Amino acid sequence: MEELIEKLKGELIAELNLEETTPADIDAEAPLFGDGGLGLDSIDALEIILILERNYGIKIENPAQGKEIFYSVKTLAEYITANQKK
Amino acid sequence: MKPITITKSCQLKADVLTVNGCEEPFDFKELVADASLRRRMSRIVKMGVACGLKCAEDLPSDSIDGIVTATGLGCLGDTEKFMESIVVNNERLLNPTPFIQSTFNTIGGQIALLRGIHSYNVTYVHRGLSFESALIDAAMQVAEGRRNILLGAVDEITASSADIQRRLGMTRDYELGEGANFFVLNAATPGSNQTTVVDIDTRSGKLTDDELSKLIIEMAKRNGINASDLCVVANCNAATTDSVANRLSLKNKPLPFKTCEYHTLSAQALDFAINNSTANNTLIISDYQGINHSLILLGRI
Repeated sequence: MEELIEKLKGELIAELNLEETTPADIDAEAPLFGDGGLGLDSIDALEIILILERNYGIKIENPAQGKEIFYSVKTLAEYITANQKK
Repeated sequence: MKPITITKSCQLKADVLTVNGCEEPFDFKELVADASLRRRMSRIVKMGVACGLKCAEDLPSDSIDGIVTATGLGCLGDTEKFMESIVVNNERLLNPTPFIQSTFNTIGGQIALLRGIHSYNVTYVHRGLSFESALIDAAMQVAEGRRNILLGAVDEITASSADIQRRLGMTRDYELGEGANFFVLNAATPGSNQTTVVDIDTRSGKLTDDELSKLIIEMAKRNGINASDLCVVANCNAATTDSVANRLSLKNKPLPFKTCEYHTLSAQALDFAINNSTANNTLIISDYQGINHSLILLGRI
């Protein structure tokens, strides 16, 4: 899980152009969206959906789950571990 | 046309920002404080936004009645990213950011959003005459009573566009260039050392030196100027410059400007003329690849 969390941090930095952020700056349990975390927005949510589909073969079928899955790097990693197809 | 005053000029070239001819410290983080906005901006957007914001910094947002920008090829870096992702991902799962940022009007739009300017906002993409079209529009906006118009021009070099242009033989005479230029135009009475735009003429297609010289003589005549008195800023090749100088019997040696080639280089030539010509009447002769020609006549009290 730790390895996947670090990999995800790297992918988020690269795909979302978080130029001024290092993996060490990202708290795996902090919220990705809104205040108190990375402060991502809806366009970033689309980019994360693409990371899940392209890199892990995961398609989120139920949009209602999105808020829970996208809460933090850790929740993303847990969802990938449970659903990974690639 | 009624002369339009240029009250400020800014240029960003090779990471050096100059404002009215003087170099200014440039920190993009200071200009765009919002990190989430900054991280989505590609190089050309940063160049254009930085230059535009700097140029408009002294003006209250509600006094800017229009933003008119020009670009030959637009946000190429993002366009290339988007096109590449279409190929790599087999036309599926395309990233939204490069698509959103690849549009030609990104720079004009971002400046308006950052400064809260809700007025006229147009981008001209007319190949080698993009800046001239924008300048004509900006001049007409001022003539119609709008107060300050922020006029800009931006183009960038990317590795693949440079490769394509080299293969097409478009770099035979000049290397490729890039840059961002912005100007504030208004109807204010020009002060000493301020430049006015007096007349503009554009032509597409091949033009002989004789035809070009005739156009210049006509322009000078309709503005009550003797063509031989003009100070010429030559944004065209040396052979054309010499030929025109001879035909017009210019009293002053033309100021050579052109060292590179890109679609909106005439905006840089305008900045150069503002900061280097002290003549009462300056004429910028521009030529893009021998097929887009323009004459911009400037005045100075």
